[in-house]
Amino acid sequence: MLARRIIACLDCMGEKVVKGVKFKSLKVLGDAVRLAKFYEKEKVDEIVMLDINASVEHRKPFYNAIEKVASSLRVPFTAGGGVRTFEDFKKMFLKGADKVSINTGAIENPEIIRVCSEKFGSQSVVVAIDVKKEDGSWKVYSHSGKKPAELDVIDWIKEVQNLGAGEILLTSIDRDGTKEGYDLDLLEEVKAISKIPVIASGGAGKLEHFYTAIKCGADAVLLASLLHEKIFRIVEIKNYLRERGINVRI
Amino acid sequence: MKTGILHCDTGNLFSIKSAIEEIGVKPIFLKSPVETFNYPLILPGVGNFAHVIREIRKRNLDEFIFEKIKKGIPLLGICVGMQILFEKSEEGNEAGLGVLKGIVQKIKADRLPHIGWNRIEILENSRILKGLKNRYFYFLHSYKCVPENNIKTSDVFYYERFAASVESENVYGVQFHPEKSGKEGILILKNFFKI
Repeated sequence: MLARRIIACLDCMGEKVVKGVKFKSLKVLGDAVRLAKFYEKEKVDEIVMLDINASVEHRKPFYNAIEKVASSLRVPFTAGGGVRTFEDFKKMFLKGADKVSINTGAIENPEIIRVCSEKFGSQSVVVAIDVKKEDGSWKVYSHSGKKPAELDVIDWIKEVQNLGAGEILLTSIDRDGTKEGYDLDLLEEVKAISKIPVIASGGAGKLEHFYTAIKCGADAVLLASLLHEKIFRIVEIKNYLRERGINVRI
Repeated sequence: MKTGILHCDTGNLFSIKSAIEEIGVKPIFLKSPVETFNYPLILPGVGNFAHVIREIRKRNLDEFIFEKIKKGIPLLGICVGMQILFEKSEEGNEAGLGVLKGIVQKIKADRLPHIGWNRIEILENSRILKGLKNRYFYFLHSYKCVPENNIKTSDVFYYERFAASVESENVYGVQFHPEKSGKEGILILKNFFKI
């Protein structure tokens, strides 16, 4: 059967990997090409590279940085940040992305999901969703968590599924960088209605957090600073999961 | 060493190109027959069965493939590139190349495509699987090859059991993507170029 995936996320500004807490206070943690190659050796199952400020700065993604990472990688590679149009998607694939992640661009124009999944295949369209808990439900935010989208997460997931999204990258802004664990309540609610794979993101801090997220139905878990700051190694996470009966690629 | 990647404008060939370059082989994209080209051939795996086979016929690459296989040139089909080597598919009404006997059918699964890392089970000694045990490879497909003859060299299980790789004389096929399967995938490509 399919292995559960451990995904390394490179939040980037150009070729520099950066990290913040609750989407703020960014610091530089390393070089994207070098880190991506290192994680591949460590048996990461997938790499996600996000140009985190492209939407905020109203500019196109740093394509050169994406191409550099893609040409050295031999595992599936998702790129995102600042993607709005069909042409942006096409360019990402030309630069070597296997999947393209879209967030703000999909909120502003949901139809782009349909157009791109019809042309490039559903499996290559990842919709990234950033949420904050407000009054007992989760609200969607755009522009790297800076702008409320006036959308409820459940409604939005149903919509993107119908439009042909292939995967959901679900980030809890409340938990991002806190190391308190993934938001399991959020994950459970989302899994109850999702027909496509869900990647859990935001909040991992202990080995058991990966296990509980997968037990709550996460098809993959995403982590960033825990790897960049060398708090965990991928093999350590995979061994922990395997010992608890989770099928992982070792 | 050089290799010919049969190019039908069907999708992204970035990954296969950079993987081949990594192992020191020079990829040449072939958009039409080059009679004097006698290096190993790769039939890459992007797109829809009927669309890929139509593009191949349009460029007269079908005749080229038959001729080179007859001459003993090794050929590796990847994903849909493996599927079109068979006689026909449930994905569209076009006949396949028919180099291998058998058909291509939709996988009987609740969730498709079959996407992600899955472990193969090696059944037969195969030159391209040399040095590999039952390792994980990256799959992305909704259809499976059902060979008529005993040419399967490995299986994979996703809701049901089906072929992960085949080998028949100088014709090889892999359902997974070696160019996306880490160092084990690279080893398969290296093995192929050693044949």
